[in-house]
Amino acid sequence: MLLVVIGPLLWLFITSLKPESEMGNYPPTLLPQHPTLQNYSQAWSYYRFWRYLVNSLIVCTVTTLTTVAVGTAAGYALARSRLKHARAIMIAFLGIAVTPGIALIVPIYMLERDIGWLNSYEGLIVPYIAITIPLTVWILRNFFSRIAPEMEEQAYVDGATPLRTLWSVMVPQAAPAMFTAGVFVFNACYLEFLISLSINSAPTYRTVPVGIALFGTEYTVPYGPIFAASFIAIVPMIAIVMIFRKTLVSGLMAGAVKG
Amino acid sequence: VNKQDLETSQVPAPAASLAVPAPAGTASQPAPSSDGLAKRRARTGRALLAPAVIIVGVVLLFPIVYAVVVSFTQVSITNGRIALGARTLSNYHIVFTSSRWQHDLLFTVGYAAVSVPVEVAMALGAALLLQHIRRGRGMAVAILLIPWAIITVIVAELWEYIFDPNYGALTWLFSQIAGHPVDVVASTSGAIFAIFITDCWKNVPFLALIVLAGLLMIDFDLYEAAAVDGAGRWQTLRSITLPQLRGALSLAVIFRLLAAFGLFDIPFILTGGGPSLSTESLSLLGYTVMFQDLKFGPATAISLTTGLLVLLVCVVAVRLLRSGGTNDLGI
Repeated sequence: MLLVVIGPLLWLFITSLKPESEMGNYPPTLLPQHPTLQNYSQAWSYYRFWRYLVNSLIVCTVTTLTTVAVGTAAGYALARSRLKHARAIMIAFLGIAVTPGIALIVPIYMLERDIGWLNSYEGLIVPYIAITIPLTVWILRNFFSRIAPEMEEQAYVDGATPLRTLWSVMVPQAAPAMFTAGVFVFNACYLEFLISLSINSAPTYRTVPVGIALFGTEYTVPYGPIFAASFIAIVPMIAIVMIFRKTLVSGLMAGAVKG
Repeated sequence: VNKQDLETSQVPAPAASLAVPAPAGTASQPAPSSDGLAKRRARTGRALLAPAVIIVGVVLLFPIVYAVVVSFTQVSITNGRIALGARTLSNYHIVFTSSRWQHDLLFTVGYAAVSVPVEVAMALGAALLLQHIRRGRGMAVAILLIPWAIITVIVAELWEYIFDPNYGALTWLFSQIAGHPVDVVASTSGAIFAIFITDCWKNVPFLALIVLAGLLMIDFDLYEAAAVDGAGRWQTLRSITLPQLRGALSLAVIFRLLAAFGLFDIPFILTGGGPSLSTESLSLLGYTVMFQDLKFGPATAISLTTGLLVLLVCVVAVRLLRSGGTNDLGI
């Protein structure tokens, strides 16, 4: 079972090391006879993959930091402040979280076209923030409502303001949940394709998935450079998953059980 | 969504009752009156919530309302700007009467209806196997998380290469088995199969993790009681495991249903909607009408009806999965 997961990825890596002459071997050869890094250098400079990687990092990092900050504040408020319409707001957020990309991209595209935001970082970051906020709020609200209120109450007794309590009592406890939410948000932005393709199709602003998807032309698909770029793109995410697997999985499981 | 959970709010103990009475003669901080504190907390709460609500409202709700207006309007592009004309129902009329939209609706709904139960069943099988692994489960779980963290476009490119008619690895394997050259994605059923396989590789491992989380939450005593009663493996699965897994399985089903209705990345790369538009999903159609045909009116009609359909399916699924919640199998 695990082999089925790993196998295709190994195939991707192996293929990325094959020179162009071996790409068309049929039956396919298991290992490259003359392993080479030419696909990597071609992807990096000829296909300008570094540009797409930088764009993705900018867009995803800004989105993640903003969303987690805004989402933590809102999640705390919904869990603790006994607001009147908390339930209605949660349901509205949930409704927005399930709206498919195609329903959002058409109106967002038309508005961004009018205000001149097409092919820009903000054109992608702003919708990404809005789309990822609901899930982040949901995760953090559930987390905060499971924390026992004693420490918080003690802070109030000691005369701390609600804002100060959130910052110095709750945020340190919520750090793992915020991290998990952050990885979820980053991943969601990193692999988002439809909105990115629609809004930032100019080469200067393409993100990784759009860049890779547009390597090919109508007649040829340069699999060598595509897989070289893909390998560079997926290594950081695989590393994060492997290093932080405990935090991520416990966060995920808590979410699954709660849901 | 757990209804009860939504309504539970932590009731803070009144601050005053926690304050230790100050010994006479020492200066003590007067504890803030609980009424004042509650008000202050509500005010801060609203301030903390405001950014999230404002961002989502302005960036998402406003465009959706705008799209509703556009969808009922004659839209034209003059001097590169979108111009709204007279009110009309023609956008919806054009979409609903087009056989292409009808096909895509059928394909999207059919694909979701078939792929989601199969994927969840596969995830259940994988989770049941994983449950018994003690050593190295952490590593197995991390490996299952990998496809979730891989860009869908890359997954689709990879499987496109594996299914390539000229030098794909699976093409070669299938050709050996069949005894003649096979081009998987050239036929409609083959193209759907290729999309499904790609979809499974990307999503089933994550689903398996959700189900595994549910499995590990089941009280071990229930299994022991079943063993004492002499229940067999199959019976235990049917009367304990599956009912107890209801929450996790519902979550997996809803999560996949939503994604399946938004199917875009995989067919965009793998089949381009082909052969002859047979694997075109509603999202793919919306994208094509919007960005290739530049027909903004019909495009908004397609995108809004797709959104509405997903919302409807979501509400129905939540209802269905919740209503049968009681376990009448007994034990």
